[in-house]
Amino acid sequence: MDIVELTVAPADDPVRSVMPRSQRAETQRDRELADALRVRDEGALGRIQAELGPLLLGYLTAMLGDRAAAEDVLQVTLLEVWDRGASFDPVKASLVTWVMMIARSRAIDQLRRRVPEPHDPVSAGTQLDRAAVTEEDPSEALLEQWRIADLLTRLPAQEATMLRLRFYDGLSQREIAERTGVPLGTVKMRMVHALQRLHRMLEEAGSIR
Amino acid sequence: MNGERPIDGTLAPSDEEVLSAYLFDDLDPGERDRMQRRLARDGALRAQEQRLAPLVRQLEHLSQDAWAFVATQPGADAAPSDDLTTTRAPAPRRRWWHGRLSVRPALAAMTAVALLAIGVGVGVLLSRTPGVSGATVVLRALPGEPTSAVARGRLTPDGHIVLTISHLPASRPGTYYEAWLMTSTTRLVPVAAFRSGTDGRARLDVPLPAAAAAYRYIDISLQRTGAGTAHSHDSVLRGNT
Repeated sequence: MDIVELTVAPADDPVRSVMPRSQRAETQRDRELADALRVRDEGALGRIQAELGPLLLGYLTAMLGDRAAAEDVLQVTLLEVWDRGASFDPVKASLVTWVMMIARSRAIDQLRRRVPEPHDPVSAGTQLDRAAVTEEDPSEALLEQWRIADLLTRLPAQEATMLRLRFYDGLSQREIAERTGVPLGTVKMRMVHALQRLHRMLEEAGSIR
Repeated sequence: MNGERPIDGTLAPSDEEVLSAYLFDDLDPGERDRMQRRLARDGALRAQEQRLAPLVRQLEHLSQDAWAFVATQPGADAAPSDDLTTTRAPAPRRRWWHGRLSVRPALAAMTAVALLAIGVGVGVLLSRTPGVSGATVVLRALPGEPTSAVARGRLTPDGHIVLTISHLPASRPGTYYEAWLMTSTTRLVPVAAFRSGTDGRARLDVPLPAAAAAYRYIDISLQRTGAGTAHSHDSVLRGNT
């Protein structure tokens, strides 16, 4: 069975009628952590590090191109989360969005502080370097990528798996069906449902109007 | 439907299936044309397509590191009884480098260096003349790769590389091939991106962006669209310059 529960919703917006359990759990978690940060409960910081640490480290490593620097900036980020905890309002932004915005700012500080180093013109560089060739703000694009990565982890596993097989392993829908033994029609449904769910989550996060 | 619950009541399940195949580029040209005609006259279907298509593009641009993160999170690949955990189909095949680069960079780097070394001794057949200009090159699959693909060609005196490639697996959706001049996994420069047709053949004739003599190998890698411009570490062919 899918990890989906129906909730009461406006009749004119059927997409809003469904919210994954994981998403509602996230909302509840954000409220709890906001309360805990407000009263400076040290357990909140540990929980944030445990739940968001891998995501933040992945994002910061991609942004800085240096794992050690990313670990340093992660620590600075968590300290700032602790210092500014009382200002976190889960109504205005999700915890993930709020913490990632802090991480992004501290990563940009780190990049600005760097002394220019000799650059190997044939080296790959950071993802930020590569994103810089596009017109969009590369740090914003990277942040959006990792926000989506976070949302993918909140999809029902069977839907996230389909998307991963498609985009990470490069399989067609038919190949996914053959690989997994799941009927082709079910593969197609799960993939489009995953998109609908992601779209809804992005809307709620304010990334899509 | 196999117990699948639609989450968006605006479309019938059959429409969602065809929309899915369209969004994920899994329709043949005839089906695609029919779908586009349908989209032109079906407002509800068109609205869904317009809503979800940008998201597909965002997912295509998600980096491999981000996908690797998703794959390693608790609950990834957990599935209900009709799904992966009980199927007799093989588990999803992961390419040898997946996860290792992000989780164990040192191991991945050592593996890559080892592969480069093996490529010198086993994976490469090379007939060359002194210097780079006019050198004949042969690129073959690295040891352990099942492909029978081969590329033959030459480096021309005017700084071009001309390669004829055969038996290369046809490019899947979301993938392409990239040719590189390479000395190591950190010293390399892209030469050209290309796709292989269903006949497994491709021909390159491109000017080299750097002095080929400064690099030891010509490498062809399988890349994923939107996964960044760095070498994927998924080499399908390699030969000496």
